[in-house]
Formats: sequence, C-alpha cells, structure tokens
Amino acid sequence: MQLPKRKISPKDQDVVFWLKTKNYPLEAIFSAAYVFIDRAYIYLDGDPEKEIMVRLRSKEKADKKKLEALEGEFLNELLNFLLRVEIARNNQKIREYIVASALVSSLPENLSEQPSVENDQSAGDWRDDPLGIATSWEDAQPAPKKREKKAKKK
Amino acid sequence: MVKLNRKIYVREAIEQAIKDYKGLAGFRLSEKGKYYLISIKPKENGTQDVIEREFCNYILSLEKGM
Repeated sequence: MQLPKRKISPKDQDVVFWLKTKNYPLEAIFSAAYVFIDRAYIYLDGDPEKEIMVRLRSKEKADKKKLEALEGEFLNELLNFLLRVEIARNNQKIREYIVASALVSSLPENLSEQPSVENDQSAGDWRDDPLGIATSWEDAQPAPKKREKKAKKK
Repeated sequence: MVKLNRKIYVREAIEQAIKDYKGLAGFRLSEKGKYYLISIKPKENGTQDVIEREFCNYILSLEKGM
C-alpha cells in the first residue's frame, strides 16, 4: 500500500501530509482532526474532491521522531473513523427501520390500532348483528307465564 | 493573515469563531479566490501566532458540531 506523501520540519515543529479523499473522506479527516485539537495546531487545505493537505504543528516541543509518531497516530485515528463512517453507511437502513418501528410503537393505541372505518371492508354493515347483542332484554328473556309455571312446579 | 480554504472551512463557523474571539483580538474577514482571508490584530503583544493557530483549531471544532 502506498503511504501518503509527507514533509517533516522539526524546525517549525510540524508535519505536513497529503491524503487522497478517494481513500479518506473529508468527514473522517475532520473527525480525526478534532481528536488532535488539544495536542496540535491543525490546518487543512487542498481540494476536497481530490486531495487534502493536513498540517499538524505540535503544541509541545517535538523532534523528528515525535512528529512522525504524531502523524502515525493521526493516521490510526483516521482509520478508526473510516471504519465508523463505513459501518454507519452500511447500517443506515437498519437504523432507519429501528427508529421508524420505535416511533410507531410509541404512538397511543387508539391511533396505531384503530382501523379506518371508511377503508375497512371486513367491518360490514353496522346494522348487522352477528352476535345478537342488539336484542333487548325483554326479547331475550322467556315470557312471564312460562316463568310462573316453572315456579309453581318447584 | 490566516488563509482558509472555502471548500473546507464553513463561513458560518468562521463568523462564530470571530464573535467568540472578539475579546482577544480584532478581526477582518474577506474573500479572495478560493480562500477566506482573515486578518487578526491581537489586543496583547506577542500573542499573534498563538491566537491565529488556536483560532484555526477553534473553527475546526465548531465545524465538527455543524
């Protein structure tokens, strides 16, 4: 694998290297840069569609070895964020599905389960009474004479 | 003078950083070609370099949240 081109300048305490955005998206470069904000002064330049120049200037005194280490750590952090970006991209549909189902399940029951009367063909006509619950109490009971006869027998 | 690439740095973040650094220095923001040009005049002598560099870091941190 080809290493990114770089220039180390211990005199200025900085290391400059170039990253192809085809391999390292700007989003990942920003995230890695953010991690190094407390250790180095970071300056970005270049063309986000082709190549980005990263300049890390150490906040502490640094020799060539330390600057090389700084660059190496930055590239490691970059790989870490590349993986995160990739995973986020791959899981996007699953995350959207989970969020959507969570939103639907958090709706009040009346809203999520109440069928639309206009579209529900299985609801039938409201005048039908398949369970016989529309019958009045008097109609449902036996006639009073029959009840009296039964009482006398007892 | 700080030169920031317009394709990388967001003007909104630069303006916010200028507001936040107002107490430390005077700023003038302009555009030339593909760069934003920011001239910085610190209120204290000897702080030019540090303010310029910290200012750039601060803009990056603001952009991360945008």
